[in-house]
This record gives sequence, C-alpha cells and structure tokens, in this order.
Amino acid sequence: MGSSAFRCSRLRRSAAVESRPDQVWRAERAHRLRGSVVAIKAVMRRISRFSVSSRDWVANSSMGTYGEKFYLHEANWLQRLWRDLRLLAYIAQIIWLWSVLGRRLRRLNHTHTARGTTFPIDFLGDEEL
Amino acid sequence: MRPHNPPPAVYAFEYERAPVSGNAINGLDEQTKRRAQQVFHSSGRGPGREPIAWAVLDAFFNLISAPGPFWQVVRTLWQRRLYAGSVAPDRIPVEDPRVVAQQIKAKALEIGADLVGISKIGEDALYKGESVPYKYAISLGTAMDRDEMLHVPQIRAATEVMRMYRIGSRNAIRLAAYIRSLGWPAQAYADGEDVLQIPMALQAGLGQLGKHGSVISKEYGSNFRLAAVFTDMPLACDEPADIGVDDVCLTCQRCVLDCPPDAIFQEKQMVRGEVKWYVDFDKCIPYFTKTAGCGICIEVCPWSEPGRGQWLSEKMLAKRYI
Repeated sequence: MGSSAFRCSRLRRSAAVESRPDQVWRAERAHRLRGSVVAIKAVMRRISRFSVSSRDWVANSSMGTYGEKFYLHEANWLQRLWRDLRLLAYIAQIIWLWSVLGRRLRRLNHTHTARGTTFPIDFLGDEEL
Repeated sequence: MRPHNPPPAVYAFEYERAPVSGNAINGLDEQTKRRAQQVFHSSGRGPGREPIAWAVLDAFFNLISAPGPFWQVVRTLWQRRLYAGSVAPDRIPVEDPRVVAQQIKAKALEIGADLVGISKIGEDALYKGESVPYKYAISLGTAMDRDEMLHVPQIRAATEVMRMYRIGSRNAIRLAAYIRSLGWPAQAYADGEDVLQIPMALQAGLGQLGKHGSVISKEYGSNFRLAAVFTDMPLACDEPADIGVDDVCLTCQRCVLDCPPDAIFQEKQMVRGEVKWYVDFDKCIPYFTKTAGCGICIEVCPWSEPGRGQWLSEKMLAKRYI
C-alpha cells in the first residue's frame, strides 16, 4: 500500500515536471543548485573561519596567513585534527575558485588568443564569487 | 635542445592600470644595497603589510593553470602543513659542527635530495620586513626529469616543475623532522615560503648564478628546484663555489637567443648595489604566465645537458691557467 502510494506520487511528480515548460524547470534547478552552493560555502566558511575569493587571492591575505593558520609547533592530536579539517576546507575553496573562476578565465584567455584581441585582468582584484 | 615552436610573446591578457615596473621594484640600476621586495609570487601579505604590485597577474597565473600543475599545487598545499612541528625534549649535543654537518648532508641525500649545502642565513636571503628565528639554512636541490623538461614551454614541463617543487618540499619536511627529532628547532622553508632560495643556494656552494638568473650546478646545470631547511643546530657552513659559469655565460648566447620575449640581458646588471646576472622582469613574467611557467632558458642552457656540466667546468677552470 505504502509503496504503491509512493509510486503514484512519483508518477504524479514526474508528470507535473514534464508538463512544465523547460525554462521554468531549468530555472528551478539552477535555483536549487545555487541554494546548495550557498549552503556548502556557508559550512566551509564556518569550518575554516574565512572564505577565499579572488580578492583574497590577489591581496594574498588568506594565503599570507597560511603559516599562522596551519603551522603547529607543539600540539596534541585534537589540535592537529582540527587543523587538518580547516586545511581541507581551505583546499576545497581553492579548488572551487580554480574550477569556477579559473574555467571562465581559461575560456576568456583561449577566445582572445584565437581572436588576437586582449582582455583586462585588473577586475580579478574586485571579483567575488 | 631547442624549444618546439614556442608561442610568440603576444598576450591576450593585459593590465588596464599597469603596476609599477617589476625591474624598479627589484632594484635594477640601483647603486645602494637593500633587501629584495616581493613582486609576483608570494605566499602572501598579512594585515598591515605592503600589497604586492603584480599580485593580480600572479592570481591570474594560478587560476589559468592546467589541471596537471594545479593538482601538484594542491598536494603541496596539503603537505605544507608539516613544514613546522614539535621538537624532541632531549637535545643531542653538537661537539663538532663539521661532523654533524656531514651527517645532516648524508641524511638529506638519503631522504631524496640530489644536492645539499649549508649556509648562514644572511640579509640577502630575506625579503624586506621579514625575519626568521633561525641561524642556518640547509639548501636542498631536487633534480627534475630531463625528458619531461624537454617539453618546455608546454604543460607537461610545467607539471614536472610543480611535481619537483612538491618533492623538494617533502624532502625539506623530512629533513626538518629529523633535525627536530635530535632536539634542535628546525622548519622547512620550501615551496610557498617567502625566502630567497637562490642567494642561500649560492652561499651554500650548490652552484653559480647563470645568465638566465637561475643557479647552475656542475651536476644538473639548472635542471633542479630548490628548497631549504632552517635550523639553529650548529653546523659548519660551505663556501660559495666557482665552477666556471661566468666563463661560459660571458660568451654563450643560447638562452639570450632562445628567449621568446628577449628578457635576458647580454651583460651583468647593477641590481641593488651588486653587479650580477639579471632577467628583465617586465618582459619575462607575462610570457611566463602565458606559457604556464616557460623554462626555455634553463633547458637550452648547455650546463643542463646531462653529463656536460662536469666537463664544461673542468675545461673552463683549466683554461684560466693557460
């Protein structure tokens, strides 16, 4: 009984999705994705206590404090574990920045190289993800 | 070795508001001695420090890097947390610094370094405003795979460079941990740390400065990367080496002719009160960024050809006495 109700509700949902125009469905999906991204970033920020943006990268404020944030001279295993978690979150943010903003820049660089035109890079210092 | 069709020195990226010339920051044509200042690569600036003039280009360089080099950077970021660590409570006494220096060098080679030398940390090893709580630097050289490096200026060579920076850092981490296990404070200062590796390596006798601005050793030419371990353990220091690099560089034109942006000077330049080989920063760095690290000059250098350095050095030194 329960499983057939579940099947029915799934069928109803898929029928509803199919009947909706593509654009609406895409917009909803993008909204949901953006929501998850914001949530992931919020969690990362909570863990690492700072977020990396291209502005940070350019000003090097987050890179500059690597030693202060992650070097431990005398520490117990719990402090080391906490440091490792924070560092993993930091690295995840670096990978995020490289894959999102980096992909855009690589594409821009490729296009302009092929066209023989130029694009400014000064905006990197102002860009926030 | 000749580079395979290097791309032209024409760039798709540009600064709208150009920063101060890197040559001016580096002190080209300056007669007075002063400390170097960071201009491009940097592990960073904390709050209250001067911003880095070419930081935007550095960020751009990092962001457009290919997956291969980037993955090596990520791995180095992870292992870098081990640059510092706890010191063993029982300190091994050092009676003869020369004997201990030999032991430390043997350990460095055993760990995986290909070149090792010791020097005192001087003013020229530190950037303006920086200080370190250590007295001695152990410079480590890690040789790169020549077959991979023959692919400069392509991604394959850039990946090899970043891989060797990672391995050099790992060697430094292991050596620093070994010294700390003897009860002496030590810290790895390798990839990502703001110290000047080249002056320390020259002082430690790893080689001599070449026309292309990199260290040339008898064993590997310029085909190696540097890392260092700083410590307070009393160690006997090495002397700077003379292997005849200047005798070759004064007449050799290889790097000058093969450099696509024409960044290598024919003669030595006055830089911060010292006459030495210098590379035009403003011409070199945009091309370096475009090609994910270039490296043409160090691979075309005759010293970098395997097995040639020893022969060149002997020949050049013998010629002085004819």
